[in-house]
Amino acid sequence: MIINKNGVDYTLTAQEEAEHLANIAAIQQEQQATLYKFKRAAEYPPMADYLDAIVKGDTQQQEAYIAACLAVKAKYPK
Amino acid sequence: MALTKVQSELLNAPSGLVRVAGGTVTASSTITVDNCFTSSYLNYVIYLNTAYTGSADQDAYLQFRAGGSINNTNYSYNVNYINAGVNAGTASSNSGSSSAIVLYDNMDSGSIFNGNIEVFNPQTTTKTTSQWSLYGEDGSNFKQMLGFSFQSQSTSFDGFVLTMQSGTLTGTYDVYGVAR
Repeated sequence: MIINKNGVDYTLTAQEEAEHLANIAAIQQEQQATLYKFKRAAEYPPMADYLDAIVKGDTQQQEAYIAACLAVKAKYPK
Repeated sequence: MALTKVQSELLNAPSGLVRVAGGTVTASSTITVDNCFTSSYLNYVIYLNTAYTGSADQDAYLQFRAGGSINNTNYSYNVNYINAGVNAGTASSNSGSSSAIVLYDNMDSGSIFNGNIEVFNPQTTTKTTSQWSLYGEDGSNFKQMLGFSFQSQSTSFDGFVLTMQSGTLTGTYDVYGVAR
């Protein structure tokens, strides 16, 4: 594996490459631990839909909203 | 009394950006720069003009260095994405326990990877903070990543490493100190 160190290409030794990959693996593991929150947030239906259902007294729309949220939770488990 | 040449040069000492490091990288997994942060300047700007080659959905990380070693503890960061004309949101975040700063989330092969990272107080024992605006491509989307970070240790950092999750960067980088 080649890296650029202080402007010069440098080939990592086997030990350095193992340390490099371990560093990346640790970062990825941390990211994975919280990634579900951001994936879920991006896909939850708009809260306005739920409020609209309450204002209208539309229980079917409320249940559809809850089902959509639960589907997102299931898609991206903790 | 007329000024000497030396006095005149001191009066006209440069302010603004002073290039302290930089270079060209070709198919490199990281960009590692040591001894670019010194007591000469409080604040720095890193400019990237690169292209990424590798797998889809890969991330870019930043870590500070001191004495030739990577610091891999006590980072806090938040990075938001904006896919032009599509969507926006938080890509990744960590409060105090990250081993790195996630600069960019989900970059695809063939993407440009341009932008700037401002680093505040890396050389002093004051907490080092940074902010960035980086641009790339995620599928057919043009994406901006906006973020900020804190490093809670009182370490004086003298360098940094920008690491791709996998794949390589080709292009140029420049590091500037901000002269007062």
